[in-house]
Amino acid sequence: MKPKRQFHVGSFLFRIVLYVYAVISLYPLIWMLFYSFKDNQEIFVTNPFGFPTVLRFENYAKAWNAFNLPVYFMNSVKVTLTVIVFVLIFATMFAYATARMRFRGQHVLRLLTMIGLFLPLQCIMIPIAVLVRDLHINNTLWAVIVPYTAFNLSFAIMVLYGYMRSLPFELEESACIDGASLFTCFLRIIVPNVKTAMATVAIFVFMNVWNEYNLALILLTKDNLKTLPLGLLFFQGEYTTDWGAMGATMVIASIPTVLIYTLFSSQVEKAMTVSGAVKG
Amino acid sequence: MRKYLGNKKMVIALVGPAMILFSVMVLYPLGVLIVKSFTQWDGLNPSVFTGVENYIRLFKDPVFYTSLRNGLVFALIQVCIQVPIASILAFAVMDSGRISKKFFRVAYFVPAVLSITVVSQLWLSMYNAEYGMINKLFSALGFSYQQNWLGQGESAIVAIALVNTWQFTGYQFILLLSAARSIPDHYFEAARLDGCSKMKAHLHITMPLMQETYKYCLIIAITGGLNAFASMHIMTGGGPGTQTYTLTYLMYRSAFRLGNYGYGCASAVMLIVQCMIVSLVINRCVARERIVY
Amino acid sequence: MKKFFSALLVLAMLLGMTACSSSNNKPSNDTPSEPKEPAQESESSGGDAAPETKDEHEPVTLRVYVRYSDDDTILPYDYAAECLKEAMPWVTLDLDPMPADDAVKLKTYAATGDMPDIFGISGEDTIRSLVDAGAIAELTDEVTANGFLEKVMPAAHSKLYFGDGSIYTLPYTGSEVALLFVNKTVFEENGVAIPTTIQEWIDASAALSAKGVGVLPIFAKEQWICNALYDAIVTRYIPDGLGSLHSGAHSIREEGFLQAAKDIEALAAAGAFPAGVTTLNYEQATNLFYNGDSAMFFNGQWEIASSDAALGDAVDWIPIPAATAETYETSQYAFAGGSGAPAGLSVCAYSENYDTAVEVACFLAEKYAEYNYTKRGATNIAVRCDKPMEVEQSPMNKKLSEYLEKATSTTVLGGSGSNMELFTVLGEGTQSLLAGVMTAEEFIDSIALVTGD
Repeated sequence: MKPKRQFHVGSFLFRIVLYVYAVISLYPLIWMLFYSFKDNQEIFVTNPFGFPTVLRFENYAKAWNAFNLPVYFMNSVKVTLTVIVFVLIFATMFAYATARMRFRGQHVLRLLTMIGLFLPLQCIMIPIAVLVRDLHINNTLWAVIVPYTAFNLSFAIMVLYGYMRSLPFELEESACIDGASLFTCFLRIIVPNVKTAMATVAIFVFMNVWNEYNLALILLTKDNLKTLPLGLLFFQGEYTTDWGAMGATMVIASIPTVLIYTLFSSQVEKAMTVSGAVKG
Repeated sequence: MRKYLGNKKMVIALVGPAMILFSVMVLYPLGVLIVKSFTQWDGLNPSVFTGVENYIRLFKDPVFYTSLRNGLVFALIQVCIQVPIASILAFAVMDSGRISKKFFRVAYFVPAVLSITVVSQLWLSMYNAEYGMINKLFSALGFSYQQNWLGQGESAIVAIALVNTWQFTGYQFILLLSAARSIPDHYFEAARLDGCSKMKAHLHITMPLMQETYKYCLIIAITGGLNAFASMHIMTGGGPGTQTYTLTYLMYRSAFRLGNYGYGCASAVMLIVQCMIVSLVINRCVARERIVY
Repeated sequence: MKKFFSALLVLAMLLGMTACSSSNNKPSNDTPSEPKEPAQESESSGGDAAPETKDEHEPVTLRVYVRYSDDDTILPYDYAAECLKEAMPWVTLDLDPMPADDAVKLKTYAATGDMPDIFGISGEDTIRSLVDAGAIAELTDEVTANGFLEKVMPAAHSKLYFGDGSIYTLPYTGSEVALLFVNKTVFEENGVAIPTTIQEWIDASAALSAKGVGVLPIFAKEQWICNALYDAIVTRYIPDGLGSLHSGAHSIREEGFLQAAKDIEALAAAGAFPAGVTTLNYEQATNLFYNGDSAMFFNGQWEIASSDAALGDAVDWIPIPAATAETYETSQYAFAGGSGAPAGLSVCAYSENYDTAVEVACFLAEKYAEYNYTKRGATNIAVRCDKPMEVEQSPMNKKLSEYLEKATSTTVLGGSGSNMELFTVLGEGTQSLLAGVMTAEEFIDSIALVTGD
C-alpha cells in the first residue's frame, strides 16, 4: 500500500516544521501545569514561562477545599454526556431529513438552524433564564442541558448535513427496492455511514459543554448543581485573584478533556480504518 | 422514489424534536432580541418602544465602526491563516506513519481542548512588553525591534486575533482530517497509478471532494471571528480604551456597562445580520452541487 | 464502534435520569411566587440582641449573595457568620459568591424572581432597576426602628441614602480615598526629590525613567483606577472632581478637565507608566511596587496595610501633587474619593423570611465593619464600632486620620456615582490617555458627546 519512500530535503524540512508546530501546540498544556504550582509573583513577574521554583501543592489543596470538587465534577459529567447524546440523536435525525429527503422548505429550515452558530449569548441570557424558569426546569441540571443541547444543534447539523450530502443516493434506492422502510434505511444504512462525523461532533460538543461558563454561571445557582468551570469563581476576588489556585482548578478541569480526546480519537480512527477496509 | 423520500410523517418525526427545541431555546430568544432592539430597556422592567432610535444611535457611534472594523480584521485573519494551515496539517497527518499520526492528531488539537482562559493568559505573558517571550526572542535574535503588542489598537487586535486563530486551528484540523479520512481509498490509488505527487493529489482530489467541509470551515472561521469576545475580554478588556472592541463586546458594554439592553440588542442584531449574509454567500458560492463519491 | 456508542448512550441516559430525578426531589415551590409586599410591621429588635429562648425559633436558611472570593471579603464574612452563630443560632447562611460580572447575575435573579434574601449591590442605575422591579426592599423604617441607622457613621451616609432619601442599602465599608504612595528609598537612591507639584511629578518621572527605574505601575487593565487617577488630578483644579460632571455642577469643557487630561498625557510621555500598562493587572502592578523597583503607586487607602507589610518604613503616602507651588498648602487637604454613592447590603423585598433577613443584614454589615476595624485597623468603616482595635495602627493610617480631619473637599472616586454611561466612557477615555492612544482634546470631545456639552 505504501508509496516508495524517496528522500527529499524539502519533505524532511516539512516534517521538522510539523514537529515544531506540535511542540508549540503542546506547550500550553505544560505551561498550565507549571502555572498551577506557582504563586502570583512567579506567574506574572519572576518566572512566567519556566518550571516552578517551588512546587506549591497547596494550590491543589485550595482548589479541593474551596468547593465541592467531586460534586462539581460529576455534574459536569452528567451534563456533558446527556447533551452529547441528545445532540447526536436530534441532529442526525434532522440532518437526514434535510439532506436526503424531499419536502418543501427543507433548505430554509436548515439555514435557519445556522443562526445558532452566531447568536450572541450575552444578550439573550436573561430571556433564557426566564424561559428556563417558565419551563420549570430551574434548580435542576436540565436548566443547562436543554439550552446547551439547543445551541449545539446548529454545529452538529451543519457537519452531519455535509457528510450525508456526500453519500450516494443509491443507498436509499436499493433500500426502497428491498422494501425496507425509510426509518430502517436511516437507522441501518445511513447512521453507520456517518458515524465518523458523529464521533467528530461528539468531541466538539464535549469540549463546548465541558468548558462552558457564562450560561452555567447564570442558570446554576444551587451549589449541588454547579459544574466544574464555576469553581474558578472562588479565586477571583474584587481586587485580587489567586491565579495559582485558578491554574490548579483549570488543570483538574482540562485533564479529562485531553484524556478523553486522546482515547476517543484513537477509537474513531480504528472504526474508520475498519469501515474503510470494508468499503474499499 | 420521490414518494419514498417525501414521506410527510417521517419528515415531521425526524425534524420535529430538533426544531421544537431549537425554536424554544434559540428562535424565541432571537425574537425577543429583535423586538427589544427597538426599545429602551434595562433588561428587567417593561420596555418602552422607541422605534429605530437605537439603530440611529448605533450608526452615529464611533465605537460601532471600530467594532465593525475589528470584527472584519479578526475574521479575515482567522480565514486566511486557519483554513490553509489546518489543511496542510490535516493532509500531512493523513500521509504520516502510524505512530506520528497518533501524536500529531493529539498535539495539534490540544490548544483547542484547553479553555480560552488558559490560552489567553499564556499569550498575555508572551506579549508582555517588559518580560514577554516575544520581545525577548526579538532581542535574542539581535533585533532592536521591541513592540508594545497589546498597548495600541492596531497591533492589539491583530495580536489577539492571532492567538484565537492559533488556538482554534486545531478545530478546523480535526474537521478536515475526519472528512479527508472518509474519502474512499480508491481515489488515491487511482491518483498514485497516474504518478501524481501527494501534494498534487490533495490539491486535485482531496480538496474538491471536501467542498462541503470547507464550506463549514469557512463559515465557522468567519462567524467565529466576527463574534469574538472571550479573548479580548480576558486579554485587553476591550482596551486600550475601546480599541479592541468587536460587535459582541459592544453589545456586552451597551447591555451591562451602560445598562441599555435595547441598544445592546441593536448591536446584536447588526452582528447577526452580518453573520447571516456571510453564511448565505458562502452557501451560495461554495459546493453548490452535490458531490457523490 | 456500535457497542461503544450504545454504551455511551445508555450511560448518558442513566445519568440524565439521575440528574433529573435527584433534582426533582426538591420541593417544587422553588418556582417564584408573586412578589409579596414587604411585611408592614417588623420586629423592632436590636441588631445583635440575644434571643430570649432558642426554642422559639424555627430554623431559617438565608441565601446571601455577596463578594465572597478572596481574603479581603471571605475573612470578614466568616467572622460575621461566626458571631451570628452565637447571636442567632437558628439562622444558617448560604453564601453564594458574586462574580465581577457588571451585575448580570443579580439582574437575572431579579428577572426570574429567584432573588437571594440578602445581596450586595452598588450603582445608582442598578439599584433603580431593582427598585422598579420590586425586588429590593426599602429599609428606612426598619433600620430606624432597630437602631442600625444611629450606628452608621456620618461619613458613610452618602452610601446609605438613595436619591430621595430612602434607604435601600446598608453600607459596611466607608468611602475610601485614593492615595499616591511613594517608595522613599527609590527616590533617595536616585537623587530625585519627592514631587509636590504636578510639574515636579512629570520631571521626576522623566528623571527616574531615564535611569531605568519604574515610576508608577498602575493596574490600568481595570478602568476604574484610570478614572480614579484622572479624578485625583482633576481635584487639583476642580475640587469636586469627576462627580461634578454627573451633578451638572461643572462642564467637561472647563479648563481644569482639559489641563488634568494634559497632565496625564505629559506623565505618559515622560515614561511614568510602564510599557503595556493597559494590560497590567493588580498582581503585576503591586509586584512592581512591592519588590522595590518602582518609585510610586496609586490605589485606594486600603492599600496601606499591604504596602506597609511589603515595604515597611520605606513607603509613605503623599498628597496628590499640586497644580502650582502656591496652591500646595491649600490643595493638600482636597481629597480624591471619600464620598460614596449608595452601596452595601440589601434585602429582597419578597424574601420568605423578610424580618430575619433584615435583622441579619444589619448584623452582617455591623460585624463586617467590626472585623475590619478590630482585626485590620481600618478606620474608614461604615458602622460605628465600640470594640478596641486589636492591631497597631500604621504610621500611614495615623497620618491619614490627621489629614482627613482637615479635609477641605472629597469626591465620589472616579465619578463612580454617576450614571453608568458616563462612568464607562470616562473609564475608556482615561485608559486611552494612559496608553497614549488618545490626546487630551480627543478625550474631552469623547466625554462631551455623552454629557452633551
